[in-house]
Amino acid sequence: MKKRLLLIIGMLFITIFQIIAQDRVIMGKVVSSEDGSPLPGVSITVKGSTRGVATDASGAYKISVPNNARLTFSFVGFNAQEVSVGAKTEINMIMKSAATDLDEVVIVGYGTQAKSKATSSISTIKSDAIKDLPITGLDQAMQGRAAGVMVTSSSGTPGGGVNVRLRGGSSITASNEPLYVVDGVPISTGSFSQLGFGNQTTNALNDIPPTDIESIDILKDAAASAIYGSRAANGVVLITTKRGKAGKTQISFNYSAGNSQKYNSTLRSISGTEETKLLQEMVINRYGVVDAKGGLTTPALGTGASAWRSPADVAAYFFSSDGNAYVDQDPTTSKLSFVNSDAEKGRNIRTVDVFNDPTKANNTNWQDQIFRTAPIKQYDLSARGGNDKTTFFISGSIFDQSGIIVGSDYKRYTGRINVDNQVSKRLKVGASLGYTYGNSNRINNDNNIYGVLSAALLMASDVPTRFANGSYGKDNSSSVENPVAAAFEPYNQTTFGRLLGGINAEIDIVKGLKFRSAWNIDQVTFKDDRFLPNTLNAASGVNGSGIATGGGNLNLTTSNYFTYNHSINNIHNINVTAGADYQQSSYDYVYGSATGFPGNSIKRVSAGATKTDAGSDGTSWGLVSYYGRFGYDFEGKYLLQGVIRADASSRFGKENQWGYFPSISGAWRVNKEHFMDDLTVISDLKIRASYGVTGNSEIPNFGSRGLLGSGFAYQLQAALTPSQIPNSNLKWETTTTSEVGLDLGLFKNRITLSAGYYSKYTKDLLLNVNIPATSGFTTVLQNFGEMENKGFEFVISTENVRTKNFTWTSNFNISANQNKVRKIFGNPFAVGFGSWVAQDEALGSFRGYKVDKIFQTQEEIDAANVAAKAAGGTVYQSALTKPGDIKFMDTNGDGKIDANDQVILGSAQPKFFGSFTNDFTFKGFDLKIFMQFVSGNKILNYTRNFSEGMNSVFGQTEAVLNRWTPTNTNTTVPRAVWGDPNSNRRVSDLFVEDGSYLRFKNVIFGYTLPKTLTNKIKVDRIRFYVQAQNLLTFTNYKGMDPEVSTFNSNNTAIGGASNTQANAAQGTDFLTFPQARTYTFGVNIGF
Amino acid sequence: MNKYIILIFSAFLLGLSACEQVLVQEPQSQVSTDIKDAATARAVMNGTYNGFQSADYLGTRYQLLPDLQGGNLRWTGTFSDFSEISNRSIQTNNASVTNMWIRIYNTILRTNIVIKSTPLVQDATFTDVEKNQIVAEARLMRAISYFNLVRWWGGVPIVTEPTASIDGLNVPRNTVAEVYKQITTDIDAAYPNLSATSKGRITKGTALALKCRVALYQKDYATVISVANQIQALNQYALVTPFQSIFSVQNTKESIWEINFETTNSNSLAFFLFSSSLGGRNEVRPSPALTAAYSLTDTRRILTTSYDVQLKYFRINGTDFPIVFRYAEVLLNKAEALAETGKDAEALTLVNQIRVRAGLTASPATLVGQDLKDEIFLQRRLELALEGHYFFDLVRTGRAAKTLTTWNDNQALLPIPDREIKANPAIATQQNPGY
Repeated sequence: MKKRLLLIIGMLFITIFQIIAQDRVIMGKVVSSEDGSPLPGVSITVKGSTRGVATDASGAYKISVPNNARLTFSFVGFNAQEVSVGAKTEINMIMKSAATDLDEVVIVGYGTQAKSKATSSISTIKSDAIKDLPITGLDQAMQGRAAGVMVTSSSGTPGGGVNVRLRGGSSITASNEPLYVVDGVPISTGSFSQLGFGNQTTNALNDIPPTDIESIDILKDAAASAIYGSRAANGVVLITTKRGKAGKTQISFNYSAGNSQKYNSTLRSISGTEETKLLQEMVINRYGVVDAKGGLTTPALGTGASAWRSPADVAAYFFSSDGNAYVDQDPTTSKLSFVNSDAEKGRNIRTVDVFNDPTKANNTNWQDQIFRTAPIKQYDLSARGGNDKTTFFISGSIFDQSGIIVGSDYKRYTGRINVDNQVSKRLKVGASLGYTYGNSNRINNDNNIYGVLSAALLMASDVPTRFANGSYGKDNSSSVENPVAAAFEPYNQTTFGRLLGGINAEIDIVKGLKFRSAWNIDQVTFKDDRFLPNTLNAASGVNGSGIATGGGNLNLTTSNYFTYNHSINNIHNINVTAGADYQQSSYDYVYGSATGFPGNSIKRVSAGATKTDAGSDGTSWGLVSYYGRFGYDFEGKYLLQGVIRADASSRFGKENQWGYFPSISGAWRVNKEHFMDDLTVISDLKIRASYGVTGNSEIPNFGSRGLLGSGFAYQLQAALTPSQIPNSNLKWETTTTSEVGLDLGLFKNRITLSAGYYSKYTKDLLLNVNIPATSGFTTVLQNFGEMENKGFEFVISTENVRTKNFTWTSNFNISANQNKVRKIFGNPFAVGFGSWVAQDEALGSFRGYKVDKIFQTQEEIDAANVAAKAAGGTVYQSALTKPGDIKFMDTNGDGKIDANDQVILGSAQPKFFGSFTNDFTFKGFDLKIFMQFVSGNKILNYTRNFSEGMNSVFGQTEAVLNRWTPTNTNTTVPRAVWGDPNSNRRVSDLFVEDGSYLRFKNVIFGYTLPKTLTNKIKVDRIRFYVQAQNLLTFTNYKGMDPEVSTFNSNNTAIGGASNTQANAAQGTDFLTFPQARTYTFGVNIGF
Repeated sequence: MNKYIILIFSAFLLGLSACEQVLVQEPQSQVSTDIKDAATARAVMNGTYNGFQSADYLGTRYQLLPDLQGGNLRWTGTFSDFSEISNRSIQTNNASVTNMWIRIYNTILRTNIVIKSTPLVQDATFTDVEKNQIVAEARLMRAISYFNLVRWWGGVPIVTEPTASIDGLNVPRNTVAEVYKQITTDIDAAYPNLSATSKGRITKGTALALKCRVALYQKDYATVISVANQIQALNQYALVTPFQSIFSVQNTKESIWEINFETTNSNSLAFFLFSSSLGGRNEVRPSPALTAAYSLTDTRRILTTSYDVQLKYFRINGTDFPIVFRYAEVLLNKAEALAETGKDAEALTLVNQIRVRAGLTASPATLVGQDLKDEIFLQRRLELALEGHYFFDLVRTGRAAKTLTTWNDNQALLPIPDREIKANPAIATQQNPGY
């Protein structure tokens, strides 16, 4: 540097001597407008000459200039400035960062655009909006922060799956997740783990730490997203990671720590005593006739009537888990009695004694034992700097979160380096590299009898945690695992890694024409280890069982494109982008499992005596794309843009190898018109419209071919079995989107407002069309269905107060989307537990019976049955219906209740949703209140279908205490009856609840120490904050959390069926891990 | 300037070479449906056996559902479809019923592929004898599958061609007689080409045992007796003692066809029956009524009393071999046919073989007429419990109405699955009565 400086100075002297004596010396200092720090390396040239110098490390410069000269100050990342020297001898310059330019820049596919010139619908989330949050991934970061983007965490599993829907789902069987593009690389998303945990999937998006993100730009309409063609129908999320900035290196350190807790006390289980009473009531109601002497006859049990000593004997006979018990018959009265073994009497589980005196029952609170206060910790450290030639960003982070259910946690370590270098005037090169490593322990939940929360709800509370001999308490009448064992015993570790990086070069060919070439790799690796010790039901019969899997996904892309910008006298401005992309993605895994372990201390599969399975498999797809974009504007006033993309995918059938995706959009910036000159209130007004076509190519890799599947055997000889019918016409789903919008700025943009209305119509929906099973197949994948999404989005941002010491800004957004399935093949079909896909109904509709009332008397039932017989049926509902059972509505009026009486009970899709954010600063204090709301959606609370079912030995929740009995008739809860012959627990409006909620999602209160104080210890900035996530939730939902989705589509490894469930059975809650309330304390230090 | 153009060109050239590669992707664990060699043909044949192994078919539900319908088992688990079956109030969307229908027809597709494509394979190492045997095994498996369809659902659509495209799939129901005719045609065509012995595979004995059972269901007692005689004449099969060894020792002399399983390819029978502490899911367990039906000295009683220890299916790792046909059934078939045709003495001899093997005393010669028929029925229930017979035996002998509570005749047949009624317009109006 010094040498170079000397050289420059030397050259300067030579120049000076050559010039006439009128030259004089100008001195000065150049600083950044951002923070006033000196800028080294700023180039200062004399306009119209070859003379030039650069600033030194302290930002100072000295240059000799002729009279009447003009100096140009330029620096990478800052706007160039020109000044006339005049008579001055000292010129100090404040360089304005290009990024802080009034005209914001939005990232579009293959380039950037001035926001004011955008003709499409793009939402941008800046890093500031998502800082200080206890979140794992950018999908969670998007929640509530962009209009039209509905984000739902599927569970409270740390690092778990998140469903993101841009303007509603457009597909039934294919994924409805948007395409994610990080620094120009379309990345792999979803869950790569090979192990199932109910629906607790992993989420590969978490591999990108939110702290590395500079901005998230969400391309919503076809005008914006069509450049991504066959993968853009669900929208595109462009993520830009932080890059270097010229100037003094800024070090930033952030730390936060805190705790998570269960935030409410819904679904409380009844006590063991209550459970005991309930079980006895269930058996009597089903089989029993109590006689005058307290005995009981059971005419309906088995083939003949049996007389029992007491109801307690029958109840014990039914529910005892006693392997050595027997039924005794009194020789004189010939009444049956149940005799428990001594061991069982000591355990107090459902013996005759306990049924006779339910206060003797065990009272176990399972939920208390599996929920916990769970710590969360986050650290990140970054350095960002550079000079006019080279800039860099380096970061490292640790994220460590435990789940509020025992056994679940997530740890992640990341590193990133982004470097850019201006090789020469024409050539720029850059590289990005992010590496992530981590591991998570997941626990079974959801629809899983070995799940932790599932067992805590479904295991009856009269079973002890442990028996007297120390072994786990078990209920032999039930298949449910001991919840404490399910939480503490299994070893389930998923280790994941990801390398996401690329190199690129950009060449200025001639003025305005650039060529960019980028070569990228996105490599996901994973490893799963599971060991179930013999203390668990699932492995007790086989002496321990273990599974190990490993594999990964390799995604290679290259992108080569030209951009051309040209302006004719600042009147006609054109820009053109044209290029080609190639992408190949391959997924591979190996798998092995064993049983028969030597005790529980060795967990690896090698130790198992019997290797039960082994596998190695893989799949792949490739995509070739050509694309172009042409933009034209007239004086920045009338804007027009056209896009086209052509995609060929290895997934498409032979007859449909290429798909074409065009879009066109235009905008009129009304405020640029002269007639608006007097309307100074309006600082910005733009009217825009767009129309375009995008696709969804998330179809199975080889879905178009007729194939025989392998991996089967008979008598250890390999077998092949038919797996699918060919369909050579198989292609992408096509979505046509049109949109009109308005962007308005008032009072110098202190109030900005954006409103848009869109209409999306998807055809050629991929459907597994049902065919007669007599063909040997049940479905064939065809492009058949149609779906419609219409809606509006509205965003308003205001700067309410802007004074020196106090500022207050607000941001409110609200979106409404109306979804309708417009065409499906054949008849409507059921998905999940009570969801229904039918023409002209919303995707995610629930269907079931409607409750009319509770039958109060036998006369009512008899009357209904008589009417049913008159109408040609046999009974109204069931031959075993009794008072206290639910009378369902005969909606079709045919006199009897059958499947045809089911009706649509609402949909999981909200009528509207949005958020309201308020930011306050007062001197050093800052406060952010982020509220988020969803309204008008329904949730199928299928958990209650079990926990209030009163049909079996499942644990029950407090609602059943209000069950119908002859003395408690004014209730909506039916009677308790073993086996539920009236099927009271069928899916009905009893379990379909309003899922609306308003949530104080995040409240952050911070204090920044005064600079005068921090400067003394040579630190630029120290800020402390406290943060609360899910602080308050207002909802009528009876489950544990209204933000729930048992079914999750993110399962890359499984695909297909899980997509359909996630799309069509959204809003189902079945024993799902609830979201937590999390408090954190943090500090940000910058120097 | 030139160097930049070279850079740009090289980027494009690299890209273009990528272009050709990325669109050529092949599945890594699947093959196309054209069968070209003997090894593939044999693998497709194994695939038909594999079809039977499904838990929706012979791998679990085949054994459990008839006993759940008939009351030998009671439902103690979590599957609501099992609850419906045990109550015999079966909804048309019952998952077990639907999946079993799908699985049986899927197995039929596999047999159809074998029957059609095996003879066409051009492979020098593939002899006509082997081809014929493979086709014969597939035909018999098709016969078994149609027999299971007809006894559960009545007259069902008959499909005998492999499905190659989505055209022409809407097949109407055939009559019960037509289905039985198809079954008999397949048995008779298969029989000559089957091997005499082959453990775990279809043999001549299997064909005869099926024919014997099919005749019994059709009350064609003469055929039952003659086919049973044919089986006895093979001198290949015998009753083994003790009773339990039929299950504890696999592929015994009593066994005519049992499906083999390994730890790597297992079934769920013990898993469904065992209590949770022994690694099962406690879905069903023997009913008190079944327990009561065994006398105390009956060695078969252990099935219901020593629960979890020595059931017919007790290998929790899923390696029990479910028996589809065994010699005891042939003897009971014959005994029933003899009793029905008035040959009580001969029938009694046979049923006493069963009684004595079970540790009971022989019934006296005074046992005749309806009492004898009842005894044969009782022994059949006790002998073949949990082997896929009881409900069908109740129905075909007309005992269902007397024995089962809340019986109505529509319960004799399962509903055609709702999805099938909706997917196949040709059967839209052909649902079984009562559903």
